[in-house]
Amino acid sequence: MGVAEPEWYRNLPSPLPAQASLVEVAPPNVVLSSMRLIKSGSEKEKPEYELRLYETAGQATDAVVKLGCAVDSVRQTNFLGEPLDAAGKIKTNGREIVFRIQPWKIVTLRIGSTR
Amino acid sequence: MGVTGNATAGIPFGVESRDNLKNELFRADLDVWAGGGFPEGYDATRWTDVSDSEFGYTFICPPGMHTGYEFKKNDKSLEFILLRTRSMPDDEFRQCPLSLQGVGRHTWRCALVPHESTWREALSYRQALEQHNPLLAHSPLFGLDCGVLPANARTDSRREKFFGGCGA
Repeated sequence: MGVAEPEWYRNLPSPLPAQASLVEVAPPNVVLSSMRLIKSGSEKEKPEYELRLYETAGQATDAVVKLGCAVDSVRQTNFLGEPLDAAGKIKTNGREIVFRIQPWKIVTLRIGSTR
Repeated sequence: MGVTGNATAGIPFGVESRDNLKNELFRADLDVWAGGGFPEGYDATRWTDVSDSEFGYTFICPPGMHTGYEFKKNDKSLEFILLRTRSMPDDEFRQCPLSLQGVGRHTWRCALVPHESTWREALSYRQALEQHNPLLAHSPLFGLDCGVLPANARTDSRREKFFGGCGA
């Protein structure tokens, strides 16, 4: 093949699950626009994830976001990453995030997580 | 039968009604109907839908081909414009690469989705998004270059399991 195995590939945890999911979004009228990792400055600080979701059927609904990692904290931000409370209360049980999304709204979430 | 009802256009992050073409802001800037070819033509991005309250059709265009649509109410037909070039002087047109002149072999992959009720219940927005963003498996180590893995691709090998899981 001519492609060298990367180091991380040899050190994968074993056994790996047969199936794994990074993120799941429900119901189907809510879609994920983007997800990015925001690296922290130091090793000690936890990484954050930024998810952008939007509603696509013109109907207010309870959006449910399931993550493959633990959710320590979640808050809404604007496009610049500054705190915002427009979406109302955002609930989480450490795995799932639930919030009310209004018709056609774009919602950006900043999620703090332990790996 | 035929296509009847109201026309809706998929746009980035939303939808727009295409019932009243006179209200279309930028329609005059786009020569979709130049020469009288498409008097009821309109624009949309990934998809367009024509449905009444009970039944309808969503058409999902080939990825990136936002060439234009036409819903002819009298004919009960929906047209999709396959090829469209900019209007320019003849000699300039001849200097363009053949591909820009529309010359060559063309392949289109699009979808027509019949559905009950309207585009809201049919989740047309999501269907078009998924049609244009198929789940692909990519692994240079296995020589797999953006191919689609079969849904049950899984072996006992730990490494293949990893990638099988991605494609499943």
